[in-house]
Amino acid sequence: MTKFDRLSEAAVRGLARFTSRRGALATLGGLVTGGAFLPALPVARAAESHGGKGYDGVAPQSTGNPMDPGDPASCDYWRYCAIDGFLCSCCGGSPSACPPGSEMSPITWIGTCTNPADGRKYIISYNDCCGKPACGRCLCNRNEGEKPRTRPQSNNDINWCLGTSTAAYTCSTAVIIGLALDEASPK
Amino acid sequence: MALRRERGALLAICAAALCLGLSLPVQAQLPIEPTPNVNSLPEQYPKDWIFIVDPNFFAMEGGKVVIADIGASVRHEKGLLSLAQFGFFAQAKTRPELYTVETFYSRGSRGVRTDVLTIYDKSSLREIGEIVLPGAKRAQILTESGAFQLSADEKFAYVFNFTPAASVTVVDLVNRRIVGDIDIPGCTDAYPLGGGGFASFCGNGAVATTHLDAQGKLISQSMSEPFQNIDEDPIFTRPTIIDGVGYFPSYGGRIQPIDFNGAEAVPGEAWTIEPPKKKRAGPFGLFKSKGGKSARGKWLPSGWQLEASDKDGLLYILMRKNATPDDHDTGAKEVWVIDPKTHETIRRIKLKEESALIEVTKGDTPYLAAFRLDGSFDVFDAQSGKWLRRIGGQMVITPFAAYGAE
Repeated sequence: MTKFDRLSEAAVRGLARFTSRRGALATLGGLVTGGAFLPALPVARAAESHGGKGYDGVAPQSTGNPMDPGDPASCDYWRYCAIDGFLCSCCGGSPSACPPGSEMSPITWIGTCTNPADGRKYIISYNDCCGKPACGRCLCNRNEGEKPRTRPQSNNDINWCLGTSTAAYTCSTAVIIGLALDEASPK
Repeated sequence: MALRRERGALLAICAAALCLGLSLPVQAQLPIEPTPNVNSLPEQYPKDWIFIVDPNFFAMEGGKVVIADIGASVRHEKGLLSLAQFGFFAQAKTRPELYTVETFYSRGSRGVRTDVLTIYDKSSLREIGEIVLPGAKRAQILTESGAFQLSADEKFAYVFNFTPAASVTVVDLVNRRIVGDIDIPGCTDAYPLGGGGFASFCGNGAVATTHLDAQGKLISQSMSEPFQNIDEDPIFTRPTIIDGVGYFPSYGGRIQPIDFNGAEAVPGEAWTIEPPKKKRAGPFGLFKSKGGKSARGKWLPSGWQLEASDKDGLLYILMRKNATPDDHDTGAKEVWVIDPKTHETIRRIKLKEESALIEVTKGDTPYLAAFRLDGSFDVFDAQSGKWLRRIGGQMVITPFAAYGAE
């Protein structure tokens, strides 16, 4: 599509959403069922003072799969390219699982991260885990491709503990939910 | 023998102390202090004071707002309010009241959720009213002022809701009751308009206006033409507002003005932030230059609350060197001061450490507060750029917003 087409389409779609009560549903539909979140910056970035290679006092982890390389307990793990929150890997969970007793949010936002092992772009769902205390470990904030809250489905500054029995935030996961389509590939 | 000597010495000391005590004037005795004793604050806060919003990510039920005097050299902390679970804060100018929006769970981090807007007396910091927000839907986000605003006449409060269906709850602050909810599908936030109602920013790159009647009820909604391309160069949702005009920086380094003064939100012409022009010194500027040289490299707006403004209408913005648009929330070591009328960057302030949160006080001597990553903050004379002091001591843990007292 040309830039003009995209712009026109966005404007028309936006108008349609706004002028209809069904717009709320459309917005909902625009959000991927999956998860992620938020908190941030200043503190998260304190973690980077450790050189971005893990956190002081947090033992490095491995997925055990050479095709899924890196340390899931480190902010520079490839799936965390747009995460904003406490890493569940450091909190009794994993990149794809919540800590025991917490609840995984069914509503979330997504990012697109490149796996250095196969060079493929994966769609990552940053599901938040909810209902236990804020974990407090491994606060990580990366914003590759992140957009402002005008595009909530691409924003990590929101508490995505939505649709859960409690909205109290615990930590964030980074679940692979698919391969990203190459924009250049035929539709 | 040794024991006797010690006893003797002890007696001598006691006798000396007794004589000394008897010889002291009665007035030297410290007065009895009454209890209980609780401080209070003035109804009108000095404009050197700021409100610091700290959601406290490590224990979000323990977030707070700290009131701090940053112009003073001592006794910086003046008071504090609670702000649980991604709370919001706002201050009134026409009434001695402060407002918070918080969420509580009946069992700490679980149980029945209650969202509540609390009204505080500015002088006593006591709760003088509360309005329960229905529906367990108010947005829980990193602090952004656009999610909780007072109407231009301060009669109403606008609370942004996100479930993720987007809406705004209108609260009557005078009669302390809910007016109702207004859907803003595909849009976010509620900036008050001078003509009544509020403006919201939408996913198609446009700004929507919600028109309200005098009772805060919906009259109609309208939408501008898209004025930004969110895919290519989105504007931050964290502006500074000067004389009713919001100045929204973009990831790519533009400033987009939006006029909130009228009945509709009106996008103005955006401009690109440029480094200060070189100032040449000496006859004909032949000998040396200063001001522009070290501004080489790609400078982009970067930070959380990355903008502020002073009483003279100057705009302060955190600018990061060698930045990419993905650094948008990171923070920076420089603040650039821009005259939004001429679009010219008139000076640069070098910070002590990188900061993602700045605010400038609104008094005659504007003070720039620049928060460090550890939660402490540096105070500068905003006009000269001179560093004055650092304030810390765990006043705040994870601050995300600061607002000058108005």
